[in-house]
This record gives sequence, structure tokens and C-alpha cells, in this order.
Amino acid sequence: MICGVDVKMIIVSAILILSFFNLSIFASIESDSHWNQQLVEESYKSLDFKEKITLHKTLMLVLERQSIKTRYEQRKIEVYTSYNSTYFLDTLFEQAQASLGDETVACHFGGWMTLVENSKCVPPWKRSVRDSSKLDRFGGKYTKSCGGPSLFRCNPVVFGPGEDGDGICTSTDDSDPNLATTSCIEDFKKNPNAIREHIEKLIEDPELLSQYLAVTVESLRSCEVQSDPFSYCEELGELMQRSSQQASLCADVDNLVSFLPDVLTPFNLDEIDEITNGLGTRAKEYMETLEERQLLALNNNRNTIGRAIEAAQRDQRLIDTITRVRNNTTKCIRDMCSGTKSATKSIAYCAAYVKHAIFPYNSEKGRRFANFSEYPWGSDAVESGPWLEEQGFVNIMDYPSMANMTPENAPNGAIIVYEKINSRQNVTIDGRRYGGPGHIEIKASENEYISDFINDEPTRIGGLRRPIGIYFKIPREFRDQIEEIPER
Amino acid sequence: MKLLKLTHFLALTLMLISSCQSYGSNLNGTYIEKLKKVTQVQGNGSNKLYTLIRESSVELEKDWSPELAKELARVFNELLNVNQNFFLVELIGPVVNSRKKEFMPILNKALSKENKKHYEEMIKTSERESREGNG
Repeated sequence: MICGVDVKMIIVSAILILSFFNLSIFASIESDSHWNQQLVEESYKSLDFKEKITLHKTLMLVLERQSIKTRYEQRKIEVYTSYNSTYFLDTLFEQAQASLGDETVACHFGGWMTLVENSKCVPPWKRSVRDSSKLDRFGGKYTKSCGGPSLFRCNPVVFGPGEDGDGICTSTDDSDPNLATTSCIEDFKKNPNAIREHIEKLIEDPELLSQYLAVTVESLRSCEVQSDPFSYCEELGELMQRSSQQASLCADVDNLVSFLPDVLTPFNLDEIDEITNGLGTRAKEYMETLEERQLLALNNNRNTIGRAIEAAQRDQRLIDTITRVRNNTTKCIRDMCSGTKSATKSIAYCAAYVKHAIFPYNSEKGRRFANFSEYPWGSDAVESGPWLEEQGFVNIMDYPSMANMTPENAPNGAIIVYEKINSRQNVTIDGRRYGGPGHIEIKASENEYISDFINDEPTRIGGLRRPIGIYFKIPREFRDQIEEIPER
Repeated sequence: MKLLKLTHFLALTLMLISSCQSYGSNLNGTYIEKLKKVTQVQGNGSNKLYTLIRESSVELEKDWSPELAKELARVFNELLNVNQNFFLVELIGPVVNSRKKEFMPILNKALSKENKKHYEEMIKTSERESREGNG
């Protein structure tokens, strides 16, 4: 022993340090260097856990000296040298995470489920993880930083709200899944009431509990698939499994079953069943019934809207509006142009011509939807939605059962509203921004889309106009028959 | 070793650059080929043709090619022969706005005398719509 460090350690450290600085060479040259890496790996594998810790710390002390040259962050070095972990070495040999190659498995990182990239756990604060929809079922994402280096926010779903309500802030290396998770567990357990209080919260909140269950089974799976599991696996697995069982036993089962479908996958059903005593299967059955109810409501709404549109098409007011707008395409209404005009040439007053057909002068023939006195002055095409709705028109695109409707397949009589793409003018309608001034037209027949001119196809202008509304006047009696699509 | 790594790096960079170049020229070639097939515009044109013109214009904005510019200008002239709706100027907006110096002489050469007048009127109407709205 020299200064508390074994000679064997120093030799292995020397090889390791040498290999560390030549790691990129190992990656590109396979011949003689490969043998050296193998030797180092074998030596490392032969050590027991305590020896690995000592080696780790020795290596870190050597690297600390190198930090002056390499500007390696001092705070990170301190974390590495003070924790009982072999993360640095494990990363060096890519052993601990090497088996996390299955794309269906997420990785546990301080309470958060994260992505696995190149067989490594990606830190949950990274953009790729925060933007990943694959991880939505595990609850919120890591969006609130603890505001300092070497500070990590533990997931409140697993470790409770902490002091500020957003999750415990723990001092650790925030890029190390092993250190971060171990540190979260330690801090969580510091409060003797924490586990009990968190279980009570899970019992009260079925959505939170379903997310907790999803994290629990996924964490157990990610630990199972590793040939050399993270050191936190045993303690975390025990903690989460016990809490899951207790909470699901006391929770309102009907409520929980209605939230569980949000987290169920073909891969976790059996595990959730095991932890919750069969609630996974009940949730699956609930989901199947819910889907049947949703389908029934969608079909009913589709039929109701279909009948409403047929009634609207027979409405004399719509027939007269179409006649007016068609006739006006050859006229210069309200001095918008001079003389006569070509029916196929727009004069950039589409909204004015459609509005005029709907709000005609009192002297004009035909039945009307509204009086000229109500004419919505100044409103551009893209802004037509609000005044159309005031007159009892309904945007068919808002109904989930009619989500496939397009200007091309819309029934005759539809009033189609478009926004302009790449526009410098933006208008906000119901909190959403659209490109102005847009376009509006009435589908008069299969190949007749009319505004201030007649187009033989929808005026999409090669993708520069995007449909945002397809309107029909739907009478109240039909609207009352439209059912809410059940969500739970 | 350093030399070997440097060689690898250079080889990769060269491969990346050459692949990007061939991708760019391939796209130009595809649009030229498609535009060449348009000898006469049927009816008032169609959304399919408008999309081709718009995409070619966007491609020219990113990767200038005199040959593609000539084809685009020729087809746009064909379109104006049958359709003088003001909003069609938006289709060539990207290349007109970002490559004005290079593209306008080509467009002016391709447009017939009558279509040149139409084009100017269309621009004015388009500007008026942006300024005053269409309601």
C-alpha cells in the first residue's frame, strides 16, 4: 500500500488513464489498440465494487490535476470524488448502460423517465427528452431548473413536491443517472413523513397515481434489462413498488381505472396488473368500452351533421345566396371596379363579394341570411368566422366527426375560409394567430368555388392559402342533437 | 495517429459537402424536368401546377440555377397567357424577392409584352390587397 492506494490500483489506473486519453483512437483503429482496451476492460471487470470505487476516486484525483489544463469543471470533479459511484468508469467502458439498447425501454433518471441514445440515459433536462411525445405518459417534463450548477430537480411525481412545490432540488452531477437518482432517493428519505405524505397524495390524485405506476413499472423494466444494473435499482424498485401497491389499494378504483388507459402500453400491462392486483386489465376493458362509446357518438354526430347539411342545402336562402354571388362575378359591385368584369378574374375583393351575397341590398332579389344593415364592414376574409357564427353558421371542421372534410370533398353550399401562408399581416381569432387577409369562397357546385371570381377548384394557390373553416348554417334543432365525445 | 484522424475527418467532410452538392443539383434537375413538360397550360392552370411553380421558386431562392430560372419564367409566362389572377404573383415571390437582380432580367425576357403589363397590374392589385384588405 502506498498512501492508502494499492499498487495494483496504480498500475490499472495508469493503464486506464492512458486509455482514457487515447479512447478516440481505440474507436477508429481496431488492430493492436483493441487488445489493450480488452486488457484494461478485463482488469476492470475483475475488481469488486469497493475496489472499483477506490479506483474511481484515484482516477478522479489524477484527472483533477489534469483539470487545470483541460478546464474540467471543478464542481463536477467534487461530485465525482465524493460519491460512492463508478459512473465515470462505467461510462468509460460503456458497460452499465450497454444493455439499454431496446428502443421500447425508457431509462430512469432521478424520477424522470428519459430516452436512451447510444445505449446511454439522456439527461431529462435535455431538449430532445423534453420534446419527446414518447415520454408524455410519464407525466410532466423537466422544465424547471433548480437554478445552479450541480443541482438537479427530482421528479415530483416520484419524489414529491419538495420545498418549492416543483420537486426536490438535490446536489449532484445532473448528467449522471446513477448519482442523480441515488441523491434524489437520499433527499426524499431525509423527511421521515415524506413517503407517507406522498402515498396519501397519490391516493387523492388518480392521474398522478397512474403516472407514478407507469414510472414504477418502466423503472423496474429498465433495471431488469441491464446486465449490470445501476446501483440505485434495488432501493428505488423497492420504494416505488411498495408505494404503488399501497396507493392503488386505497385509491378510488373507478377513478384510477379511467386514468390508467393514458399510461397503458402493450409492454406494461402485465406489470401494472401485478402491482395493482389486476387494475391494468380493468383499465384495458374500460378503454375498449370508452372507444365504443366514442365511436357511437362520432357516428351519431356524423349522421346529424349530414342531415343538417342536407337541410341547409335545401334552404332557399342558401340557394339565393349562391345565385347572387355567381351573378355578381361579372358585375362591379359598390364601385370596387369600373365597367364590367370577367367572371374568372379576381379583383382582390373576395370577402366583399361573399359578404354582399349574404348581406345583400334590400332592393336585391332572393331570400337573405341577414339584412344589409348588419353588414360586417372592414372584415377581411380570414376574419369571417366570427360574423358567420353570429349569423348561425357553424364551422364543420370543429367537429371531430367531420375532421376529414376538405374544400375538395365539402358539400355544395359550404362557405370556405382560408388563411394566407407566409403573410406579414397576422390576425388573432379566438386566441389563435392566422395569416391575413386570407380568402373566402362559396362552393356552388363540384367545380365552382365562387367569391369575386369563379374558380374551378379550391383557391389553395399551390399551398399559399390554408383552409381554416368550412361553414354551414346549422339550425338549433340539429345542433342540440350533437353529442359530446366522451373523454373518460 | 493524428494524421490518420485528420484524414478521416477530411474524408468525411468532403463526402458530406459532395453529397449536399449532388442533392442540390438533383433537386434543380427534377424541377427543370417537370417544368419542361409544361408546354401549354390547360384551363386556368391548377393547384398542381401552382405548387410546382412555387416550389421551383423556393428552390431558386435557396440554390440559384440560371437554367431552372429560365424554365420557371417560361412556364410563368404560359400561365399568364390563360390566367391573370393577381394572387399568382405570390408563386414566384420567393425568387423575385431574394434574387431580384438575377431573376428579373430572365423573367422580363420570358414574359410577352402583354403579359408584362398583366404582371405589373397583378403586382399592383396584390399590393392593394395587402394594404387595404379584401373586405
